[in-house]
Amino acid sequence: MSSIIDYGQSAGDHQTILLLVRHTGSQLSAKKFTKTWERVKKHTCVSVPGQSRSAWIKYKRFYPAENNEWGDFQAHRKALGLICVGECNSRAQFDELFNSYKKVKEEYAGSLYNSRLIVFGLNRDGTAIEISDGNCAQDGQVKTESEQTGTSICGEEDEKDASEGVGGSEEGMVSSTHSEDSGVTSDASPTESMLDQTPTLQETQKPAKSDENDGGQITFISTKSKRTSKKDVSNSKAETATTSSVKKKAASTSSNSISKDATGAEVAFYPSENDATDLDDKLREFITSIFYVLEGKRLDRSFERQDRMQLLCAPFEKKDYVGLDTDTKSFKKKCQGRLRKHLGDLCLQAGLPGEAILHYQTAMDILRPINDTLWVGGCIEGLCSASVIMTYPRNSSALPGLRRNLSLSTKRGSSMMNEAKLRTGSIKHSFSNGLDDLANSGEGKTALNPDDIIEKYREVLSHYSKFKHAGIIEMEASLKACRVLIVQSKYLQASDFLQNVIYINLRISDEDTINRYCTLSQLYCDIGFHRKAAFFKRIAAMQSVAPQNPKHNWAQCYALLLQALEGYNIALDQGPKIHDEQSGWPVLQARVLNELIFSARKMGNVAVAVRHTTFLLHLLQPYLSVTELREITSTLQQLSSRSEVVSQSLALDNGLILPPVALSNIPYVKSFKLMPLRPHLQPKKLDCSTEKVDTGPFIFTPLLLGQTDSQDNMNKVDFNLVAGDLCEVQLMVVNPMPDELNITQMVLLTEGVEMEGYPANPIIPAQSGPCLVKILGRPKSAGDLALNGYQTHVFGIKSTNKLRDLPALSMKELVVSVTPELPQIQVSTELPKAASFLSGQDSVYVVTSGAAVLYTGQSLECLVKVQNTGLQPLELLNVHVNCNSAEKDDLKEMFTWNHDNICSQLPLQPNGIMGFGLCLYGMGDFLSHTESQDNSEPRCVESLLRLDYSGGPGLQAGYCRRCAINFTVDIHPSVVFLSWESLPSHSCDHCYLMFDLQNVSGQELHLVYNTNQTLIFTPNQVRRYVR
Amino acid sequence: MSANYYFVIVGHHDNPIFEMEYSPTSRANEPKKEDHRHLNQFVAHEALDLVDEQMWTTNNMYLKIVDKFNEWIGKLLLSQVQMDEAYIKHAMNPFYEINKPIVSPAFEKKAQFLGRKYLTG
Repeated sequence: MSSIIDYGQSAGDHQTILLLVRHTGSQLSAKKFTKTWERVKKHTCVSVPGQSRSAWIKYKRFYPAENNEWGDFQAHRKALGLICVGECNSRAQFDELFNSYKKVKEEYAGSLYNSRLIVFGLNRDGTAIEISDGNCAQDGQVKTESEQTGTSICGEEDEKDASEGVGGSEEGMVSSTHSEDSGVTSDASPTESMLDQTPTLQETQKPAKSDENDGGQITFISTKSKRTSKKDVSNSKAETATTSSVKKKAASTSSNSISKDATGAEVAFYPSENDATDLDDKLREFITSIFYVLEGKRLDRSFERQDRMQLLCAPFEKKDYVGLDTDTKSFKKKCQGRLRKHLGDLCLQAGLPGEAILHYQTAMDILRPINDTLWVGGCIEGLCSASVIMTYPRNSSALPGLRRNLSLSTKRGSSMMNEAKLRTGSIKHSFSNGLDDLANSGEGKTALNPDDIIEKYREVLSHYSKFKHAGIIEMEASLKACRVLIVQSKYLQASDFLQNVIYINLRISDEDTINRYCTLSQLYCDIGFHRKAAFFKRIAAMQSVAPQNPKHNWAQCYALLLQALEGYNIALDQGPKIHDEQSGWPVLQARVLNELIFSARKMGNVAVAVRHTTFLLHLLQPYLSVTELREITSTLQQLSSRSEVVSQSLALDNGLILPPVALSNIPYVKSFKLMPLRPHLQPKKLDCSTEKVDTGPFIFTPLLLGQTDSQDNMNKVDFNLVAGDLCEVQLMVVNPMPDELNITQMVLLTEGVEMEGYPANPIIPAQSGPCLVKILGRPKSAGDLALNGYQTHVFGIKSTNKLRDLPALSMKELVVSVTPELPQIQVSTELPKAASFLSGQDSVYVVTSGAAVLYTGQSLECLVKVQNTGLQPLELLNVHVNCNSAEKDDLKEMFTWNHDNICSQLPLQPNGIMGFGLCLYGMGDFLSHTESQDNSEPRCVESLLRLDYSGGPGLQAGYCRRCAINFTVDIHPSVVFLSWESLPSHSCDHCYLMFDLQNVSGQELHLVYNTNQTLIFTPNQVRRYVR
Repeated sequence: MSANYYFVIVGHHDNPIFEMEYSPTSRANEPKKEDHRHLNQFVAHEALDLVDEQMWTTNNMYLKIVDKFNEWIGKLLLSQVQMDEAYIKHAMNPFYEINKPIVSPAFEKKAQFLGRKYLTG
C-alpha cells in the first residue's frame, strides 16, 4: 500500500514533522493496531511547553525509503520519528519484537531523530502478565541478559530491583510505578550502541557540537539529541540522567533519578491497549523531544563555516556530483544556498514561517545566479508554503475537514465575487468560520499576498517541469497549489493546476495512477466540478480493470463507478419516482450503469447486478434503443433465472443502500380502478328509511374551504365490498417494450383487511395498449381495506408499485369498507322469462324476470324459488313490490304473498331451497269510460318484486342484499260494463240492475252469474243482463 | 481539416437537447472505434463544468478552448450566431417544449449545413 506520491499533500504539510507509525511483530492484531493508530493520529498539533509555538505532526504508516531520500530537498519529507507498536507475551517474544523494531529503525536511521516502541501484553514493568510481583527480580534478570547483546537497559533493571528492595517499604504503591518506569528504562541505549557513539558527548548542551562530531552530518543521532532536548526542558535533572544512561550502575544513586530518567524512555509497556492511560502524555513528550532536536538544528549555524560545507542533493542529483570539483565558487554557492533553503525548511517545521521566508529569499538570491533551477523551485515553493501557512493558519482545534467544508459551502459561480474581493482587499482575510488571520501580526509583511502565491506556484511548476525525475515533486506541488486555490475559492484557476497534473508524465504503478485520478476527482469535487469529478472517477475505475493492468480489481472498479454516478445525475437510492423532465445525459448514464452492472457481475454479486440492471431499465427505458432494450431484458431474465432475486434493499460495502427498484413503467399503468360488486350483490344498509338528511341551519357550498384532508376522503370509494366475495380491480396497462410482455404475475397490494389474491397473468403485445387487465381478490374479513398498489413479476423481477409513486394515477390509495359476510341467493320463477323489460328505478337489481298474461280479474299463482347459493344461512327475507308507472296503487292487490309462509321457512341453510307462492291478480277497470273501442287494448304492468335478504354476520352488522324479479304482466281486458241502469222492481225493497256487458277478450267466454246460470259470450258481443 | 466535431446544445437540467457529429467527408465512412464510443459525450459533459465557471468571466459568447483531454479539445461557442438563430426559431415553435430534445429535420439540416460551412470545411 505504499504509494510514492502523496496525493494528500497540502501546503500546510511543509510545516509538519513526519512520524512513522509501524505495526511490528506478528502478535498484534490489525484491529488493535488500528485502534492505537487512531489514537496516535489524533495528536496532530502539540504545543511545546515553554514555547509559544506548537509542533504540527503528520503520521504515516507506510513510507517508502525513496521518499525519505527527498528529505534533503524538502525537510518535511523526512521521517523524523518512529513509533512501533507491537504485542508480546513473554521475554523471548519481546526480544524478537525489539529486533524487528531495530530493523525498521535502521531502515530510516538516516533521518530519525527519535523513536518509540509501544508494547502491549506485558505489565508496565515489562514482565509477563501472569507472573506475580514477587518474580519481578527474576524477570528483570532475564531481561538483562537479553538486552545485553544490543542494549544496556539491564543495569538499571537490576538496580531498580535493588532500589525496590531498599525503599520498597516506604512506598507500597509507588514502588510499582517505579518498576514500571524501570521497564522502560534504557532511554536511548540501543541506538547508542548501534551508532557507536562515545559516551562523553552526553554532557553537551548544544546539539551543534554533537553535529560536529558526526562529521557534518545533518541527521542527528536520535538518542543524544533527545537527551539534549530533555535538558532544555529540565536542565537540572538532565545531568544526572545523562550519566545514568552511559554508566548505569554508577548512575543508580537513587531511585528518584532513575524514574525521572525513565520517563523519556524508548520502550513503553502496557498490559492492553485499553489500559494505556498515559500513552497520550508519552506521545506528547515524544513529539516535544523531536521538536527540540529540530529546534537545536535550526539554531545550529555551523553550516555557514566554509570548511564544513556540504552539498545537499535531491536523490537523482547525487550521481551528477560524483567526482565534481568541489572547489569552485559556484559549487560553494550551491552548497550555501541549498543549506540556507534547508534551514528555511527547518524554521517552517519549527513553527517560524516568518523566519523561514527570510531564509528562502536569501537562498533564492544565492541560487538564482548559478542557475540551480530545481532548488530555486524548491525555495519558491517553500516561500509559498510559508506564506500559505501565515495567511491561512491552521487552527489547532480545527479539524482537517474544516477547510473542505469551507470550500463546499461556497456557492458555485460565486468564485468571481470572491476573487474580486481578494483583489481589492489587502492580505488580511477574515473567514466566515471565525478563523483569525495571523498574517496581520508583524511577520505578515514578508508573506506573499494570495494572488502572488499562485503566481509563484506557477513559477515553481515551470522550474520543476524541467526535471523529469522531479515529477513527483511537481505533481505534489500542483496539488498543493490547487488546494490553496480551493481555500481562496478560485475554482477556475484551481482547475488549471489540476489540468497540469494530468499532463505530468510519470512512470508510476497502476495503483498510483488510480490514486491520481481519484485525487483529481476529489479535488474537482471540492471546486464544485462534479462532472469533471465523475469523469475522473470513471477513468480511475476503468484503469483498475484496464487490459494492461495485470490484476483486475473489479471490486475497486465497482466502488469507484458508484462514486462517479452522482456526477452523471444518477441516484441509485432515489425514490421510485422518475423526474418528469430528463436530467443528465442518458447516453452517458446508460454507459456508466452498464459498466457498473458489468463490474458487479464480474465481482460475482448477482443480486446487485440484477438491481442495477432493473434500475437501468427503469430509468432509461425511454432513451434506449430497441436492441439495447432487448439486450437488457435478456440479461435480466438470464440473471434472475440463475439466482434467487431478492426484493429487499441491498446494503453495499460502502454503506449505500440499494432500495428495490420497481419497474413502474413496464408495464405502464394508465388507470387503476376498483370495480364495485354487481348491484344485486352489493350490501345495503338494512333500514334505509331511518336514513334522513340532516337539514341544519347551514347552507351547502360546493367550495372546499381549508379542507386539507379532503384528499383522504377522496380516496374512500363510495361503495362497500363484502367479505368472502370476489372483488375486481381493472387496470389499463401499456407496454412500452419492443417485445411482447409476459407479466407472469400481477397481484394487488393491500393493507388492512386480509385479502386473498388471485394473480393475473396477462400477456401484453409489443408496444401496445392500453389493454385491460383484471386482478381479482377476495377480502377475508370485514373492516377497512386499503388498496395501495400492485405487484408485478416481469423478466423475473418482482416490482412493487405503490399508487402514491405513480404520478399518472394521482392517488395515494383506495380505501374501501368491507362488510361482514352475507348470504347469496338465486331466485327463479316458474313463469317464462320476459323478452325485454323497461329499466327503471331499482332495475339494476333484477336477476331474473317473469312474464305473464292475465285477463282482467284473472289471478295466477306462481312459485318463486329461492336457493341459498352462499355460505351463510338466509335468515331474513323481505319482499316488496314496486313499480314506476301509475299503477302503484294497484300493486298491493296485484301481487300478494304470504309473509308468514316465508318466515316459517327461514332460516334457510346454504344450498337449501325454499319457495313461496306469489299470487298475481289481473287488476283492471271493468268500467268503460268512453264509448270508443279502445277498451280492448291490453295493459302492460311492469313491476319489480324486490327481495331484501340477509343473514349471518352481515345481518348482525345491519346489512342486507337486494335482488329483484321483474314481472311483466300483460293484462288483457275481459268484459267491460258499457252501461248500467236500475229499474224499479215489483216491490219497493228491490230493484233491477241492468248491465250492458261487452266481451272484449277476443275469446269465447262463459259468463257465470246468479249461481248456476251460464252464458256463452262470443267476442265483441254486447249483451244486456238483468239482475 | 480532418478532425471530427461534436456539437451539442445542452438544456437547463444538464440534459443534451440536440447532438450532432460532424466528420469530414473523407472519413465519413470509417467505422467508429468501439473505444471511443461516447467518448466525445463524456468529454463534452465534463467540459461543461468549465463552461459554467468561465461564462461568468467574459461577456463574449465565444469561450475559446475551455478544456482538453488527450486529443479531444473542447472549444465552445456558447452560441454561434446562425445556430442561435436556428435555435430561437425552433424554440418559438409552439409544439416544442423547452428542455426537451429537439427532433426536427429542418433544424438538423441547418446544423449540418453550418457545420460543413464552418468546421469541416
